[in-house]
Amino acid sequence: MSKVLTRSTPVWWLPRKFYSQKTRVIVGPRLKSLAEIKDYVGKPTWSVEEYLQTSSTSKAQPPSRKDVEKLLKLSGLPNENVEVFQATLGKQLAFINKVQSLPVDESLDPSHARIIDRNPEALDYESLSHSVGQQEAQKDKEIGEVGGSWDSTGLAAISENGFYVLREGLLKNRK
Amino acid sequence: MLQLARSFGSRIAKKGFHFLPDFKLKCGLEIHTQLSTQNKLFSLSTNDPFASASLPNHHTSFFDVSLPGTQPTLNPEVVLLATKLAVALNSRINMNSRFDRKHYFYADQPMGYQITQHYSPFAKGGFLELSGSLDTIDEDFKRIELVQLQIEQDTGKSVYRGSEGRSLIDLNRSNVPLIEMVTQPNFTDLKQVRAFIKKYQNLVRHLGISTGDLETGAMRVDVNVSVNEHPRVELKNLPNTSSILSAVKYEYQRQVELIQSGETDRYSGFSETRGWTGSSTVKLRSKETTIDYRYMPDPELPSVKLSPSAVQSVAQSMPELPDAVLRGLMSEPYNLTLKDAKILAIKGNGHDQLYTQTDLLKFYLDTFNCYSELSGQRLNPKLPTNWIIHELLGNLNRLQLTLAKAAEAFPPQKFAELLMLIQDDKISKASGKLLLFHILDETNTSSLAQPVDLGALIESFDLNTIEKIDMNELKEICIGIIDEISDPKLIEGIVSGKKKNSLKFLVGQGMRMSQGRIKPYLFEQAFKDLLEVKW
Repeated sequence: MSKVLTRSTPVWWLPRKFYSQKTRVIVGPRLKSLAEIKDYVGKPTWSVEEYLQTSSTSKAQPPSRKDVEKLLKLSGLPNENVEVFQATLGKQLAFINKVQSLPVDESLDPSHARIIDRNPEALDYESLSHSVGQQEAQKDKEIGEVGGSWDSTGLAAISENGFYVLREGLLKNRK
Repeated sequence: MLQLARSFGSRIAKKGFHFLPDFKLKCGLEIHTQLSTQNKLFSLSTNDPFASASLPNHHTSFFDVSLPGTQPTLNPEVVLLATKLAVALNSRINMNSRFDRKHYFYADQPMGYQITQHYSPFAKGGFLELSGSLDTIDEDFKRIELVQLQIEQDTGKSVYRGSEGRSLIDLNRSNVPLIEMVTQPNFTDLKQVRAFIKKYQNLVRHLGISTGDLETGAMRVDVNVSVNEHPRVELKNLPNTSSILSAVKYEYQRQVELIQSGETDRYSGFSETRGWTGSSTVKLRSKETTIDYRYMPDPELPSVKLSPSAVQSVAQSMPELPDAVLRGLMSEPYNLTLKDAKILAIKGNGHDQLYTQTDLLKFYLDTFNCYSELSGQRLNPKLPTNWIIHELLGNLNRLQLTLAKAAEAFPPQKFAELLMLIQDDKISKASGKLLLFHILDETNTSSLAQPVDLGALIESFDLNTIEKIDMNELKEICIGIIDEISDPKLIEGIVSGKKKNSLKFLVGQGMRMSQGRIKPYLFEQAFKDLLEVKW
């Protein structure tokens, strides 16, 4: 079993099981330059393909038709191609099971499983008040933060007098 | 189903409402409050959810309409306001709270999820205390415990066009900051529910963190109702206090009838969510169809880490809380009645108002202090109260003049001088009223000479109480009044002593003619002399 480095694991978000399962992640040395990063990424130490192949032999059951239909409904997707989704999701589940079975650092804080500042500085009153005072000057027209600076419904296929328009069917088919 | 619920409703309505001793009501509230920050929660677009009427989608940044590639940045003002509320509600502030995504699909929620605080909310615990003396509840004290406060995004607004078979979506409200506050199910009576809503509403206005208006949706209240520990029913879509109370009454009786008829297992064996139609509650969804929100920590927002000193500084920057203000006004030296204290301390909705409660209270306190210095031992606490709450506010309304403008022209010091003139009988009450109205009227038309010279005004309008009265002149005035009386029985009644009170009518006429500058007892004596009254 090869080592898994957190940097190469796509840790966008790990399922809740991750929080309860005490596994181990080994973090490598800090990369100091762009060249080092390029070098590092250029030499893969593992591949998704490999795990998918090894996991295909394990006995992961694809999700039931009922589960997939529920997921499609939750995701606002049409109830089509259920068998294809069953097969694809089955493979993904096998992969996730594999990932979760790997040894990781048990001292890792689960709230750190996001690619953002793990130790932000504590906010004090002065910095909070100061930032509030800066807001007016920081409003950015380029991202539409100034009222009326762009036609926000201009990108929509249908609009009416400045409103976005929703065809009723979408609302009705929610249930 | 709907039809069944409606017939249920009319039956209950006819019976009238009362709580039954064997059926215990238990309520909890969930209140969403829009924060009055300058800008939105995770973008710098202007927080003006009510621009929609004329300018739909006007205050919408790329993030607010969730264009791909945009990211949230937390507005620090939200943290300051949330801290204020948490401190005022005695909540334990989480020094490291986090944001999570709550997924569901709806047209006014363009991201497909709402950013909220599910796993690690901003504050936990806390309470709001209701009291019999201030809040019109039956108990002396009732503490409503809180579960938590969380920061989250508001959604956009949909305008349903039924006839055209579509909805119009306005995202001005999208990403407006909200605080969701959840109470424990501590309410056992409708008065407590009403008192809590009023008190919480006043608190958020007092702290300046929200307009607190139910009508505009700046404050939205959901209620959990359960009877005898049966599964709770959540009531939503309650637009104002009266519908909140009516919905709770209706739901109480509906649940009691279910329990009495033994149908509880069939109908409320699981919790459900119901809406209010104006006359009855109707099922929106039951637990069987509960949405799976697929909560997950938001991967784009760092945790909100607060330093303890930040909380301390916010606490120090806060005004005295409403209960303390009321209790202060109702005790020495002010001794106001609860009603008058509330006029000074309880916030209205702020629309079309000529003053803020903060300004009014300050004007009152400043005037009281000046007057107190001038009057010393002879202080009459009712004088500033009556003249500010009744005369001044009445005139401001009549003239549509703001307190700020009035106070600039006629500051507390001058107001206190006016009170002293009245207290010392230098001018009559009637003259005082005329003088105050004159000053405010001139202020309104910007023709008032600055600074106001009360003495000169009194002189020029001849408002001084007439100390030395020419008795002949007084006699002539009285003769004139008697001549005007067309009903001879009135005079006969006075002379015979059968209708002594009619003399007061004559005195009143005299006071009116002299604009209160001649003392009533002088008139009384003069009339008695003229009519040769023996009693």
